[in-house]
Amino acid sequence: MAWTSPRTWSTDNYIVTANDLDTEVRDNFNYLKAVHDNNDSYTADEGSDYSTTSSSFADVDGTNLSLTITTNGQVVYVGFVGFARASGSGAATVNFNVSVDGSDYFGDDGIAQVVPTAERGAVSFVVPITGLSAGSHTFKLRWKTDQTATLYASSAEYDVRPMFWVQEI
Amino acid sequence: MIEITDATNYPIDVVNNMLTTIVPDALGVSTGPYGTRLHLPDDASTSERNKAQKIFDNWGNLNLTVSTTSMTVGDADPTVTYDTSDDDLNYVVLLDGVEYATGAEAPVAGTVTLELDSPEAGVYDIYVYRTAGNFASGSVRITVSEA
Repeated sequence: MAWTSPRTWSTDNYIVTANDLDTEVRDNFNYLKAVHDNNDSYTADEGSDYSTTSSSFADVDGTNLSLTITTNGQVVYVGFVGFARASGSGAATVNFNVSVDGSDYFGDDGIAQVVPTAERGAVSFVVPITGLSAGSHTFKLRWKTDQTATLYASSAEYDVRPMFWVQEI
Repeated sequence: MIEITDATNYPIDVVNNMLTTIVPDALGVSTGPYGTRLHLPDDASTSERNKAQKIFDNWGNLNLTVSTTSMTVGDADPTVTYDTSDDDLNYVVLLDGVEYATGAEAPVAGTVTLELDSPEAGVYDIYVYRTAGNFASGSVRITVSEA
């Protein structure tokens, strides 16, 4: 299904046909609904928390915090909310990123950095991913740290539920 | 990034200490519901990959001897020993799951001896591992109760 640029109507005795209405109304509304309905999410409620000491971006969870949708070529918003900890000797940081089809989308230190003064803090972001062709795309939550990072996702310490989601718009 | 994986969720501080000692160019370790992943750079050699894999393959293969697994604050300091021909063995001690001490100990007359010096109350997990050969490791737990 593709989007058809709406025509400019006139009053020159043009007889509206069923095909016109199908194209202008039905098909375009169906396209918009398909984009609106194109989303996925994962809310983590695991048997253990996630931890990493990786100094390079790595998947937080390559199976569960990995979402694949087939897009219509529009912008995809990617969002995350969670409760994380960076610990070690001295100041510690944890950085988050998103990979698209296997490549980290944001360079350098990614999207958001947690440097909580009490070692723990909330982290959230919503970012637009542009330039995607129509088709299947996989989005993964990624992270790295300069010491030890933890994303709470179980009842072991803090019984919270981090969420990772994607929405085409 | 190359990943060496295992379905067991190992203690991250211990595995990270082992990996960065045995494979200095390693990027780190990740753990979660999926188990454990060892992160190596893309250009990691076959030797480095094999060394990392041995951390998993020989986990728990050192049979350590411990003087006591349960004690009270003020009791005699507990010891952990292992007979070896290695130049030294590395150790990581967790106290209530958090890294407490790390280091290396050389054998005396063929025996490596680690001693917990006047431990406070808590659960101590002592991990000992080889930094050569098969990179085998072992662990014991000592629970120290309040007096």
